[in-house]
Amino acid sequence: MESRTRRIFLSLARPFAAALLVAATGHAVAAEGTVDPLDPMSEEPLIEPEVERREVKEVNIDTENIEVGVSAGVLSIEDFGSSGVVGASVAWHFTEDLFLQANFASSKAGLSSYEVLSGSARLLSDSEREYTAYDLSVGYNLFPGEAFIGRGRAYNTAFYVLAGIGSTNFGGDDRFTLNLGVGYRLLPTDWLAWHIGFRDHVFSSDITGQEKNTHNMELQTGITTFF
Amino acid sequence: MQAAVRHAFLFACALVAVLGLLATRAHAAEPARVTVVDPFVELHSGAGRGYPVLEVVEHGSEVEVIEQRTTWYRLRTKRGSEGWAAREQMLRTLTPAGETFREDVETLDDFQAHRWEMGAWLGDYEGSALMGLYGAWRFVPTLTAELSAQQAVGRAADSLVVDVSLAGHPFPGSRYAPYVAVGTGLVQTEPSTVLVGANRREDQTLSVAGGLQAWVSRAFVLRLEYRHYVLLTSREEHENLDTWKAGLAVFF
Repeated sequence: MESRTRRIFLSLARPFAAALLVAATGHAVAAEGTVDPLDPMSEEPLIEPEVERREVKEVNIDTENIEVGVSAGVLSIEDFGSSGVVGASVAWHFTEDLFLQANFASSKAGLSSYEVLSGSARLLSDSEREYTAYDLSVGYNLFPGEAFIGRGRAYNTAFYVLAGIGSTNFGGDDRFTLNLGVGYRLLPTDWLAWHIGFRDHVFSSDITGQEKNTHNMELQTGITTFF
Repeated sequence: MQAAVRHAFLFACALVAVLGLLATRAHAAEPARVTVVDPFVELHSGAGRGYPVLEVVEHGSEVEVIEQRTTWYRLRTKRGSEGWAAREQMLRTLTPAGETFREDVETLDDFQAHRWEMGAWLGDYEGSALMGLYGAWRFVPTLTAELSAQQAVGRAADSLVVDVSLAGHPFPGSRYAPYVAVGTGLVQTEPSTVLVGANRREDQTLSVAGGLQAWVSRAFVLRLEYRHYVLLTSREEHENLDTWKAGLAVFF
């Protein structure tokens, strides 16, 4: 690097030095006794380059692979009606196709039809109706594309699929949960995204008396930002 | 409700860790510039191979690099238009210093010299599904201090397992780094609600572990671990537990 810079300076300096030499010889008599600028043995520097040095830094580019956001929607908890659900998510995009997403969701179950019809019997206490879930999923941007709104606007979008595992706390127990989902992401700007998605949270439950796999469907929409 | 708080807390921890990681990545004060070496660079309308090419930048033109998303770079031309260029073409551009543009990605050398690591793992905890997060700090090349929190979800009981460990890496210079660890921690076991009369209990643990770390690419590490726990219960006999875990981590 140093030798390259030196070479550049030398090549810049050469015509300069030649011009100086002409000037110097023109006044050779007057200049007698001064240092010869082209004498390699001369102590004085050949020329002081007035070239501003360019700072050479490591290229430091803003990477925006992490997406953080919040969501809200409707969760249908099997046997316990549908309730509102709120959530938060962090996603890390590895490639243009693949991403890893961590999700957290919180909801509260309603009454089962049995509880409504029987009048008083309760299958779950109030605190057991709290539904909290987290999961880690792998996502794949199946159909990346663009959406056109009107004549003059195009926004980048992607239809993605998700699969993952996690844990759901419901009915007083933690339950190993399988998550499957699809989603649609639209980017109004480069750093903001709007999502709409549908997910199935599958876990085994014995709340209604017999062990079975329950499917808990979540329809949600959310806003995320890229960092 | 307590479980809800616990879950929210675990999630918040993960979130803070991720944001902390982000904060450590310094942002460029002024945009980087590169000069095109290829006959031309194609600017796509989005960060993906299928997005249409809206513009091309000719050989010799200088462009601003605004940001990077996965393997795509958003460039701004002198005329002010923007588009996404693929990594392959970016690698054939020159920096203002006249050097070939290099991607700022981690290499095997970085893996061998890394100090911090954060990951998630899944596994088996005596027949229960185990999920957890961990963080590790390598304070000398051969030793790491680790903190991990995991949840085991089983038919009979759910457990929260927290470990603090010291791990020794005898071969820190290789791509596949085996290690041995000793640790201590807590296990909080909550029997399932169907089992009436069982109480929640908390036991201190001692553990020994052995495992392997393997560098995959960039900042990603695969990890496999076997850990044997001795639960120091208040009952007559100590309880022995075995766990297997496999995980994915990032280092920085």
